[in-house]
Amino acid sequence: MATESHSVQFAGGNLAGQRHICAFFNSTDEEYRVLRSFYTDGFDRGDKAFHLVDPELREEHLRRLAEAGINVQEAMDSGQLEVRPWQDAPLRGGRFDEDTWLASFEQMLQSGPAAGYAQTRFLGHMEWALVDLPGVEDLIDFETRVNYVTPKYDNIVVCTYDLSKFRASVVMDALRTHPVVIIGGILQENPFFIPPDQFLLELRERRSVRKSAATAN
Amino acid sequence: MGTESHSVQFAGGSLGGQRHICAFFNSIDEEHRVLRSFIKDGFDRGDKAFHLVDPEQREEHLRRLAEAGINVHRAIDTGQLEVRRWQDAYLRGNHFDQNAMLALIEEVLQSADTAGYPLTRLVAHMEWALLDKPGVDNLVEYETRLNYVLPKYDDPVICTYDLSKFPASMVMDIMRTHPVVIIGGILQENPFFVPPDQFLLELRERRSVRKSAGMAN
Repeated sequence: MATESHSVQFAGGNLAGQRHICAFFNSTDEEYRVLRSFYTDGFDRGDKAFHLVDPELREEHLRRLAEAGINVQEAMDSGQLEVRPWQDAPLRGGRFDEDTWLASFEQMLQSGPAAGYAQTRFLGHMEWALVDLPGVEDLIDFETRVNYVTPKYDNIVVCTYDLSKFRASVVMDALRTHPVVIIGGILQENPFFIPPDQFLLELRERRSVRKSAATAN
Repeated sequence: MGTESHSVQFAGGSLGGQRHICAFFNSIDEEHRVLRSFIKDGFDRGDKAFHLVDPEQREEHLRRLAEAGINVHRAIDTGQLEVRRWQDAYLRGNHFDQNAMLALIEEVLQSADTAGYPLTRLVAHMEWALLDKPGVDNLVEYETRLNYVLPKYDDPVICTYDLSKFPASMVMDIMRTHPVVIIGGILQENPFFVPPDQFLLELRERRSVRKSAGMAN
């Protein structure tokens, strides 16, 4: 876990032990500017890159990586870079199944080191949760449960949220489920983080309040 | 500044020197539950309470204060409690003038001090900024400029934001302009806070980007 050689610096901060990060952006330009060194350092150090993207923005994503100086074609051919559209990952089968995806996600984290890469740098564009498909309302439940998985590995997981698309209440829940956060381009340890045991309890309470409110109506 | 007798504790935290606080809530119930001890302790200690509220929710607000055990009628009669409607503060003259409002806040804090109250505890409901009135788009600039004013005083100022009403991008700006934040009912020093000199610069840059984008179209 977190040896010296695995120290990671980007977005004006230095990652300590906690490596489940959420990054809030107002624009695509801002996103790539802030995450640029996260990508390029990873390739320079021989890490595996696993990216989960909006299928409609896949080409744009590859173009931006190339602009950052990454040899995209070579990296994809060698398997160092894997860019997967949502429908082949969290939305497989036309729905979001939290347990299935959590298991696949963990396999992805393991796949880098298993293939000899130093670590996996995982990037997920999270707007799949806004697609009208069954199960996507489990986003926050999933995000909090990721905190049971990530501490087992050195891998870095960055979840990006477009502030122009998500509701503020969801953004606040996303904030509370990530121990490290990027806001305004700056990475910080997050004092608002709630450990998963406690957050799952809160989610359960919310559901029971909603249920009794519905029963009362 | 910050003498022992002026210590303020609530929402699971203790206020240090920084006393410009934003509080994010998902419901009115949550708001009153979390702020209850802040308001109640203030009355018990003889502090002045200055509340800025939605005119349509004034009666509801007073009812909730009474439920919290405050003798609302007496507190209003003695002047210890002042509940002012938006149109008599932020929206005087049917528009938002940030300079006038900054001056009003200072006047309120100073006059309570002159009247012998140990502290003023100010609570402001901020949804006036969502009304269709001239000047309300200066909300974030106003919030950052409050950070020039409030450090001169010991008085805690809480700006409340309803997460179901504000867009996420605005909520993030609000978060970055308050040195102390309440999220999920917990008060924390805010590592994402940006000092006003720097934030004003960022706002100016955004405006110039928008302007040049506008001219390019």
